[in-house]
Amino acid sequence: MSRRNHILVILTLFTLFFYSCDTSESVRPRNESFFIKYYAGPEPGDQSGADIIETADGGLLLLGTSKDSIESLIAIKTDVAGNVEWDFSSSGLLPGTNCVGKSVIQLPGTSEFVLGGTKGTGNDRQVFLIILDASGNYVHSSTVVTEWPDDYHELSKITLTYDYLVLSGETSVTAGVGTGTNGFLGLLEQDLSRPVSFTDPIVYFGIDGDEIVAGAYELENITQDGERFVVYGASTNGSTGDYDYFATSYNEILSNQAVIGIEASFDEEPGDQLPANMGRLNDRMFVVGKSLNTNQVYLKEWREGIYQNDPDGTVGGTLNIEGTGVTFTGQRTYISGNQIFSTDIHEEALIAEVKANNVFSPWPRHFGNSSSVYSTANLTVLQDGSIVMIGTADLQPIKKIMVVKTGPKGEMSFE
Amino acid sequence: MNRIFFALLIIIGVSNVAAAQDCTLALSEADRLLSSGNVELVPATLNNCLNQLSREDRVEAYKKLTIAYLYMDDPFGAEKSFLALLNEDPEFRTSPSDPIELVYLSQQYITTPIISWSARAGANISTISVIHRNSAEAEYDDIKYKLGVGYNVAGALDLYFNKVVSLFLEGQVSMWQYNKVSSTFQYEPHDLTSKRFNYQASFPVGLKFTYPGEVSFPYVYGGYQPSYTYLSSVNNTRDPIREDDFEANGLNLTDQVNQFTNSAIVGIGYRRRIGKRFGYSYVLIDLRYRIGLTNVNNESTQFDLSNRANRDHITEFLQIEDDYRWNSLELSIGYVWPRYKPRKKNSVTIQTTMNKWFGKKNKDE
Repeated sequence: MSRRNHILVILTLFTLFFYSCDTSESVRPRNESFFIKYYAGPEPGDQSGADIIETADGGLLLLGTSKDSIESLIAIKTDVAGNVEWDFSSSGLLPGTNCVGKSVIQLPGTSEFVLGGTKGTGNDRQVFLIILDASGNYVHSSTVVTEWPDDYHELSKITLTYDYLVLSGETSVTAGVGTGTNGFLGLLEQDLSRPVSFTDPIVYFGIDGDEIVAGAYELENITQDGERFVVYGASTNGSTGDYDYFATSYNEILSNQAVIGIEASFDEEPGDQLPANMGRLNDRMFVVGKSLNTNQVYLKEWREGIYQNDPDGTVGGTLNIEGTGVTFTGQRTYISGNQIFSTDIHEEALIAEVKANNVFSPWPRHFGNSSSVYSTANLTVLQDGSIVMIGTADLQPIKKIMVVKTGPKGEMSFE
Repeated sequence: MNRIFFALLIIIGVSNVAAAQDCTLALSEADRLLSSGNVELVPATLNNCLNQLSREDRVEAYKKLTIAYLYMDDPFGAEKSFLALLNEDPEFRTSPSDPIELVYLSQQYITTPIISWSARAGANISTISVIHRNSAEAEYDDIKYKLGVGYNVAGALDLYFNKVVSLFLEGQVSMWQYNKVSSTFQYEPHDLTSKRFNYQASFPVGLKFTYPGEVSFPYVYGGYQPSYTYLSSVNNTRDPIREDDFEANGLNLTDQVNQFTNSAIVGIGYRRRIGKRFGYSYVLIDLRYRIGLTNVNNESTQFDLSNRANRDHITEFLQIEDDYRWNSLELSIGYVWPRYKPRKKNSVTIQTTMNKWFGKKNKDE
């Protein structure tokens, strides 16, 4: 064979090699589309995740609690791929004082972050808000002044509406409402540059027994009866004395009485039913939660203030996962956006889509392993349809915040 | 009777020794005849002795016969004798003192192996080329890949175009290994180690260029190596500072890798003839660098958490694999069995076939 042919063969081989080589250009980076990440947090101790939102720049803001000698609210800002850009801890702001992170929102006008938590212990617990600018610089913080400052107020959720921040949670206030643990729902102006107080409307509510408040939901369209906000949770009202779902609605000025009576929304079921979340599945509203009686997840339609028990044979009652009854050992069950669902199962985190006939989508994603306990805290659906879930991984001997990002259908691959 | 039998034995033995002594002298006699110009007597002197000579002497005898036939202008006899010579010494080379007629004749024959079989075994070390860094923990990027030692066993077939160029086809089984170490969680570090094993069957093919020495044959080569991973497993540990290690060995991650991968290979080697001159077997030492071309991880199954082993790999041992290519440096020793078929150059060979494809006339050697 001539030298020219040798060269021809060699060049052909090298051309084949070049085109079959995987490079950084040809291999798509996964992290922007899906990942599992753990976060050490800004300080030592165990960390747990509580809330996660998509930020205006397309990144993520994680809110949680760090627990070492005291509890501190922590926030971690990441880029779209989950890489840390900055973090924040309340330990410097509130030395020696417990502060538990609960809920976070980003104000649409200023892009400031409002980190909501509960400060203090026992009856000294109060709602505490920390405002950071978009770069994570401290701007302002305030304990929310309430009508009954001697009673604790524990924040459950901040809900961002068009013109208000809606704070919902639990309190021990007893005046004028049921005894024991009750709920509160307060509105704040979005201008938080001043000391924050519920000078705006606030309502305390309760029925016989204790209430656990999971959060508030803003209806997309105010109903004929003027309903705008729905508060949902659980109450020990009822003959059995255990926790059962309830929800109540309020108009936009939080008139003192619910537009629809609390009792109408109360759903008596055997055994405890723990706080849930509320969401919209197509044009119908649902609450989700967990029944300790059956150790299964509940998904119930809530229509006009009344729980619909399997109204048309498609939704209601307990869910089955993958067609078999399973034990849900976690404490939280959420629905977010329209139809995405996360919970804890067999000490593993799970996210899935709820479909008709009370079954999960064919893509439930389990996160956990043989020896660690994973739990979910919250999830959100990003603008591009991706799902991000925040939770806690008990990695023995430490607990760390875990974030999982998947595609719109739980995809964790490019197919 | 016994006396007669022993006497016959002695007579036969003595006559054989005498014949051997005669045949030893036959080579000297043939030399003398060639020098004196009595070449026509050479065949008669040597032909009866050929079967009684050692292989080395037989080669020398056929050489003298060939020269004699050339001098007698008997090309048929010369070719027949030279072919017989090549059958004894397939890699026969003329020396500077040989007649020019013999040199010309030898140039008309192929004296290289048509093929050679070889087997080799050795050890390898792996290196990693990261395409995209992926980490379970967002704050840190202290992942280090450390060399792991594996092994490889191969059999090869070399098809010779000529003395210099050959095409090699191999079948190889290998185990590659690397160790990935990292730490995580800055305030309470967990040391993570992941010892990865890939068991592969490979089928390298390429071109080899050999320096045509007398005894030593250094060579270089390059080629392409498709591989199939039939097992990919990992031994993981997570070592928290405050608690005993967590450990899991043999997690099967075969479904999480691209089982068909491509590599480029380049290498150098040294082949040396061993044993008696005409044994024509060789030993070799080979150093090969395999450049991985394919991303090891399978994009579709990397986060398949329905695979229990993969779920533990990710969520208990915090191993989120990088996108990476897997390279290796392999050192082997081996043994070569050449196979010869002495023939004239106008025979059908790989060389002539390739030349026909490329429209070239036969210019073998």
